[in-house]
Amino acid sequence: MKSKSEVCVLAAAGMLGSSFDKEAFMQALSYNPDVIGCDSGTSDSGPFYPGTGIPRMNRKAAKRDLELMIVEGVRRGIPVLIGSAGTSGSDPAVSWMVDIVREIASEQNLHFKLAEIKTELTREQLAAYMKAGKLHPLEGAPQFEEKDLDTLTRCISVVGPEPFIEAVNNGAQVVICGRCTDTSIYSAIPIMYGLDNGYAWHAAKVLECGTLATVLEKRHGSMLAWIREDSASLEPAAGDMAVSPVSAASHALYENSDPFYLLEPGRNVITKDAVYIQETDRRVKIVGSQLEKMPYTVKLEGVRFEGYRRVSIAGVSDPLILKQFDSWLAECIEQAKQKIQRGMGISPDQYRLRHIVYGNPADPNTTCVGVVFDIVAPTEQDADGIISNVWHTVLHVPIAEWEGAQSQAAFPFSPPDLQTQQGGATYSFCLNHVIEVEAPLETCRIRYLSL
Amino acid sequence: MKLYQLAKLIRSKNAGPFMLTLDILFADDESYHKAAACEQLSAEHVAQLYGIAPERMRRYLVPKARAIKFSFPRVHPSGDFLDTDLYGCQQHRPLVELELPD
Repeated sequence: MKSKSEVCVLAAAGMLGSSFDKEAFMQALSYNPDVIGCDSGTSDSGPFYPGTGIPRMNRKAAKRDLELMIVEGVRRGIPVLIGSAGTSGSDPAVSWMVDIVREIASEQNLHFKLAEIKTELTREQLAAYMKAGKLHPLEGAPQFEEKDLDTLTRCISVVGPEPFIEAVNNGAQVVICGRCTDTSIYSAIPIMYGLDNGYAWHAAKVLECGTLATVLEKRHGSMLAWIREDSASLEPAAGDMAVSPVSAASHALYENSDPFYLLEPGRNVITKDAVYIQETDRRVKIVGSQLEKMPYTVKLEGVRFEGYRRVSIAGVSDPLILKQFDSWLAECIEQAKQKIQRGMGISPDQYRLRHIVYGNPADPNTTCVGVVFDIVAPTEQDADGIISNVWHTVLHVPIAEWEGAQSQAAFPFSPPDLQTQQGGATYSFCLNHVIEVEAPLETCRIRYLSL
Repeated sequence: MKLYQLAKLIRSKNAGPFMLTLDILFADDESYHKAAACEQLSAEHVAQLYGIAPERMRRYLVPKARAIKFSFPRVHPSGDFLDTDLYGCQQHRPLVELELPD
């Protein structure tokens, strides 16, 4: 395998579709980076995205960012690596992004080899890992047992850098990968050139959010890293931004439970003894990062379907209600449940109902308290009926201080209930586990397309 | 003195769907060391503040980032039916006005 003593890695942005600063990106290309990478996913926006496979980002915005990266990357012969495609990195999200890449290639009359990497596991595959005792929960994750397989909607493996390396070694100029660790996008090419060390991984961790690791993020955009045998350097592409030892070190904390050890597929990245040195006024050098090889494990993210959600938002302003708010609201809920039972024949154990109160009814300065009523039911029809019973009951539950017909809730729109996307389809995370694998490519399917 | 008067940033965020993490960052070494030495910012005390069993609260001192970090399992996983904070980003409140000795 070819090797290099220094590899330059360009992170176009912290998130694909964030409409990164074009000028800074073009500036970064003047350093002749060995790779252009961008992360496109996160589990932070919750279980809906892996549940449905629908991307969070706007298609136009994703296309704008992809086009900049692909046109420049293909023209200059720099591999373009996209990880965790379309928010969840699920199979449909990868297909969604591959479709955008095809469109760009055709519109720009570009010809290149595209690698599509899908990383979902079937229930059967997961069952086999479970049977072999190779599935283990990560901290805080619930137990996942054989019976839970039936309710599992989707299971996505979070792959390491090896699938990217495989694709690039097979001539892929653009790689659209399913769920992968954020750092794998940026460590892949240094590893391919023989630098599978603490610096490749530590720098990748700082790069993964683009310019978020700068002292003051004036505009979101590109970050550069230079990976060597004995150090890494980091610099934002935009000339008016800088990284400092503290800003780089702080980023090792971000969205991480442990700031000193970063568990990656087959590796433990140790940043505990790393030293950050201000190299120029905008650039930081890292020394002392370490890498420990570990048995190869791959993380799994999994979700299950919970039902259909409906929501209603009510404002309550009457001071006499606010004085007895908790008991009035409890009465509303109780009456709604009875009405749903009587009219629809649905008992409270067949759906879930909660309310969240925004504002403090006990504070005499409060002029309005917001209440969100939130229900999840097994069918859309039931969900529609339940929420309308809830808000309509709330509207008319009287208080003893007034006589006659009373209306108690201000609804800001009609209808007074709404559904979240996709008919209110609601999911929950049920897997945040690792599996032991024999080979890093075991959980992925790679397909090459000549565009 | 309240913690926000000493810190430059107090934040909370998900660390994966099942964990929550709190970061307290300081502008200078002196503030960092002062806070790190406070009993009010021990793992035990912060566990109590958040109603978490003390053995589930992990504290990290990160002098290079001038940061104190706490990580612990979420009561409700991110986006679960009973969750009220998808990103876990408004969970730092109990720390902001925490009273520290002057």
